[in-house]
Amino acid sequence: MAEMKGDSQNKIDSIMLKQDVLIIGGGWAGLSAAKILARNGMRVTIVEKAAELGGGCVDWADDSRTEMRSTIAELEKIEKVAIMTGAEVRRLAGQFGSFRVSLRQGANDITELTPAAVLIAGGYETKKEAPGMPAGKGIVFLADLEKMLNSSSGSSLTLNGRPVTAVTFLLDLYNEDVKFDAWAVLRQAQVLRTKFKCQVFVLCKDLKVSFASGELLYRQAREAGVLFFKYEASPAVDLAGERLSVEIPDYTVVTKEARETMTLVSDIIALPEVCAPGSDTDRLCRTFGIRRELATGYIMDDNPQFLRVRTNRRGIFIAGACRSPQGLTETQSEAEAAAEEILALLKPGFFTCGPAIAEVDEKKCALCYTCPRLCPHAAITIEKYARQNVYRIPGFEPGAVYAARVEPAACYGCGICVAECPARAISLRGERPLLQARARI
Amino acid sequence: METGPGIFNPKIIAFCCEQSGIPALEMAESAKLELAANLEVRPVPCAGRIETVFLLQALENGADGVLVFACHEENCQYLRGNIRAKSRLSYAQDRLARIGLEKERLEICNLAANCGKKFAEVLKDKVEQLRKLGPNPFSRRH
Repeated sequence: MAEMKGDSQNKIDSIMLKQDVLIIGGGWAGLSAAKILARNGMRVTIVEKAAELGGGCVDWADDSRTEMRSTIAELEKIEKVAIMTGAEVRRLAGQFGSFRVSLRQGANDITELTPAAVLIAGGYETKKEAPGMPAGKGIVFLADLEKMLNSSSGSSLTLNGRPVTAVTFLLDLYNEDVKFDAWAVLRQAQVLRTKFKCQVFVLCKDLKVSFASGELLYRQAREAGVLFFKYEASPAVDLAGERLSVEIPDYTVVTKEARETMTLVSDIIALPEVCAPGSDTDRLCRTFGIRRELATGYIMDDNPQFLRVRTNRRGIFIAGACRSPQGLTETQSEAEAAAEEILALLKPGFFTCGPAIAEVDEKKCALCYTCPRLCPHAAITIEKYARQNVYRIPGFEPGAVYAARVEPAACYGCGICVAECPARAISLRGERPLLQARARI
Repeated sequence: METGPGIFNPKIIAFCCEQSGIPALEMAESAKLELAANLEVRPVPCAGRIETVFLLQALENGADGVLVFACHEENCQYLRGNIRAKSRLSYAQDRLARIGLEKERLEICNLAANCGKKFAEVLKDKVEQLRKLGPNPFSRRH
């Protein structure tokens, strides 16, 4: 901590915190977090844009569906939990401890909420796109294959009336670094091999198994007789009569000259869906003043190593697949982490700001808008102007303050605005002067 | 490091980010690594807090060299504070060049909280470099 002057100790602000949390997204992450928060006495509002709770994970795994149903049933019984489906966030104002959120449910039913903290637990979107693949009926996406596997009762699998004897999984073609695909493929490959006695090939670049029981799933698939091939350049997929063929070089041969091309013929080529951030991510980030990752478009976390569930704004948290596509176990642990963070923040009932907080000298502020643009935590606002965006002569309206305002609860005390203010109107409260008057050495 | 009555010990002012520079300094101290004899440390909450005028006035007020210890780029807790510090520092270097002072007297060093050894090494290199450059001619101390 910066060395503080003694007299600043008695000027520390603190704000009262309501035990009130808004959760955006009623999927696995949102519901898991809501359960923990509600059990600990928080008032929780869940906002889901779809007509029903559940989110994107309901297409997968039967056991999670039953668990989800029991979670929803438990939440519906708790008085402090409000569930709003078919609703979306229109506006967010205010700062940590006193957010003002306006929600729209249905066509024009506007609700105003004042949560102390917000958890964004959105999902991601999948697109069934396969550029460069031959147009045919043998291309199947993982979610569709999952439905096929769940619906076929006998010991043989059919696609369009033809029996399926061989299946090729093609990983890492369109998605970069998505562990969820590997999880789904390993499970399905095992089922195809053991229950339907199909020949199964898995083609991948690097198999991502860094999730709970990932290595185990891989070993089980190997033991069941699933064949894994590693490729570097995209394999050529072609029609072979009624079936599909994939050509890949045999990379296990060390010398490049001796490499032969293998042709794998199968009835189905199973592809993961192309993952993309949810279509409303951009609007959500703008509404909430939080950052997106430029390269991927997902919501950015504060620090990927140890602040994964925090955002750049205090009191706004993220969990689940809106951060990056992920499986249920990861989502679950993220939801728990976010809920624990929110509990730790809100449970005391008050928040002590500081010790270092930026303060604006209203007389010096020229309303140049430099500081609200620069503040990494969106802690500075010029609310009067932001709303009307018209120039007014300071002092024209009695009682009106025309200056940038730093919200103490949202300020992290980094001092970036202090250094950048052209009018030198901002100072860090309690900071020892860094600029010396004159040297007396 | 050689010390003695006849040897010039340059005064170094180090602005240290509290996220990285200060823990690195503490680590170097606890490991009893040799630090520059004439060192003055000024903690800042983030390297982004450092204004151009701080750097220039440090030189004016008697420092022979100024070092900024900031976090690695894209690793700033406040997202872009270290990049802002870097751009301000290069502006200050430009000012120095105009008045005929070596720009090596100002330097930014990106390190992590666990880089105690690097902290000491950078200081050592700086001392040697400043010994070659000689005392700061613009200092009000002389």
